[in-house]
Amino acid sequence: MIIEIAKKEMRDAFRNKLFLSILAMLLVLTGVSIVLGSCQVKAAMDNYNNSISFLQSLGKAQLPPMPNLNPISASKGFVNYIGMIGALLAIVLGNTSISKEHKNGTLRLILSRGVFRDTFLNGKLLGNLSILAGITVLTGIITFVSLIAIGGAALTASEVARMLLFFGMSFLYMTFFTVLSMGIATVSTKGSRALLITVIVWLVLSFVLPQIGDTMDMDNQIPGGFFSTMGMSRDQEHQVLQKFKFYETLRDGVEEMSPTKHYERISYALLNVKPGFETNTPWEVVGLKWINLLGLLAPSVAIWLLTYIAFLRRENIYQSN
Amino acid sequence: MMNGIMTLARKEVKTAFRDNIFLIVTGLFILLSVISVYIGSSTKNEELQAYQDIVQLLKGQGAATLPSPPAIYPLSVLGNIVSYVSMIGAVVAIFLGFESFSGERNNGTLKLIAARPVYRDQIVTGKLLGGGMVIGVLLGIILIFNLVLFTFVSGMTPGADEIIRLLGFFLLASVYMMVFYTATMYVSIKTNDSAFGFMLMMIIWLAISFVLPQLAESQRNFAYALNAASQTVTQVPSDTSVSKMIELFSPAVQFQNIGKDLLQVIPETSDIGIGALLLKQIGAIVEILIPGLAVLLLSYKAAQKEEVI
Repeated sequence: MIIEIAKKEMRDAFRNKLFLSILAMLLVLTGVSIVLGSCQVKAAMDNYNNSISFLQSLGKAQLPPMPNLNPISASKGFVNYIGMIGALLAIVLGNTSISKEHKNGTLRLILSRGVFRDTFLNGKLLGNLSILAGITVLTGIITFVSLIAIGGAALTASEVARMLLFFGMSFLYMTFFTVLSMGIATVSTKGSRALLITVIVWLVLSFVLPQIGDTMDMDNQIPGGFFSTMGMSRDQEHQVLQKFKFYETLRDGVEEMSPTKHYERISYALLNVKPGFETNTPWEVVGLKWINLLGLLAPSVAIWLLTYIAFLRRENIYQSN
Repeated sequence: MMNGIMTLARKEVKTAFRDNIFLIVTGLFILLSVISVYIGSSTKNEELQAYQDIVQLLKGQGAATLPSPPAIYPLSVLGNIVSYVSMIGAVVAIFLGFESFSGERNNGTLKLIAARPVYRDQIVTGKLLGGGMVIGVLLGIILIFNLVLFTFVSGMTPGADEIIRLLGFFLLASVYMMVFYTATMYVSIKTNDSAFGFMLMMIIWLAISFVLPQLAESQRNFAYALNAASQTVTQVPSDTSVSKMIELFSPAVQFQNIGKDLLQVIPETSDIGIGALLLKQIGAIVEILIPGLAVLLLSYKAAQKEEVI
């Protein structure tokens, strides 16, 4: 029965114009960002090859080694698009799956058959997660193909593993917003209101909290960076920041409340956009960034459990809205 | 004629302030604007403290040359509000306008209004005026809070030039929010499904405020500057023709550029008079106004052709 509900969910999603519009936008932007990133990788490789040819024409025997072009950082733009459009897509998916049943009166119909409430929720979640997994796989394939075909990059096994883990994190991030959206739609009596409330929560988590964190970042307040303007080295910067430990902890705490920040931090570490993780294996990066992984997983689990409790205990389920 | 418009406008204001969801978003907007002043002031104070610590540290290490203190212009303390208006202000305008027509249509009140001696263009004007009044009240509250907090927290008193710049910024903010309100109203006229219209505007907001600026960012050139004293490398971005072209399509970028200049966030333009500043940014101002005027005309046209009425 769970599989039947999940299948229906997938069919319905691909009939939803809003979902399809956002999906098309996400895929176009993924394509654009990856093509632009791949072109940058290709330009860097061409520059290196031209330099080598020039040195060889001069008869130089000692040639510089190939610099680390970090081709997987071409997905940096994708992190931002998933952070915004991926989350919006997940919200629409989660909200529609519950609110349409309320609106059409089919919730009563389904539950009057031999379908338990938990089965109903599990089927809905399974269907939505399958769609999100499909989108993740599709964007992953676009990325890999673009990097190889346009960028001309030969990815190492470690880079492939890092990319796969990164797409796994993207899936977990979108899952959080689907679960949140389903949870709010389940508790709420009116689907459109639930959507508005979910969007407000999304705004707070994805834009407001990171923005407050940015505002509290001393280094962000002057163009070019405060510490750099002051001519401070990294060590000196850390020495000064030690004196503002409470302030920095508070700033970090504000950012830690945002799943978007957790997603961004672990993704940038995996994609080597943030320096300091180049020598680690992919699993070591995940180990070092376990708090961000927990920040993506734990809220989803907690919200899903609360949704279960709320739905199983709900008594006005057969009332029409 | 004016009576009908004013009655509709007043109704619009009342409806907005009775809507709990709108009140939550508005509360969030006001709260953020207020705390941004507090955070901005305290971060600047921490910076000055950090500067003193840096001087002490360098003196202790026997440094011969010491860095000059950071230049802090009074209004730059309020600089973070530019991001908040661009981000949450636009969303407030969307929340305000997404049911302006479709809500009335679904509740059956649009037919009722149209049955009265009110022309269709007056309905649009009334809604526009009502939305403008709500946005004006919100920004007025934020302006007062900002001025009071600015004086108390930073200990600085704004001069006439600073007040004119601040008023200029809030006028610009109201125009920017009205562009989003008008666009949302147009979508509301064209669609029967409020939720669809709302999400469509959220997608447009995302594209204008985040996607286009990030695409432009990815097309900038980055030069690397080496700081001889600290041996640190800083990335210095410079615009390219592609990045400038992409930014042309984003009123959010234009709003942020003018806003940062007005609130003295950019040191290079902080001493320029407001007249010269607005003249310098005239192109950006036009880029904000053109889409607003376009959707306004489209709204009048769509309302005239509305068949559901």
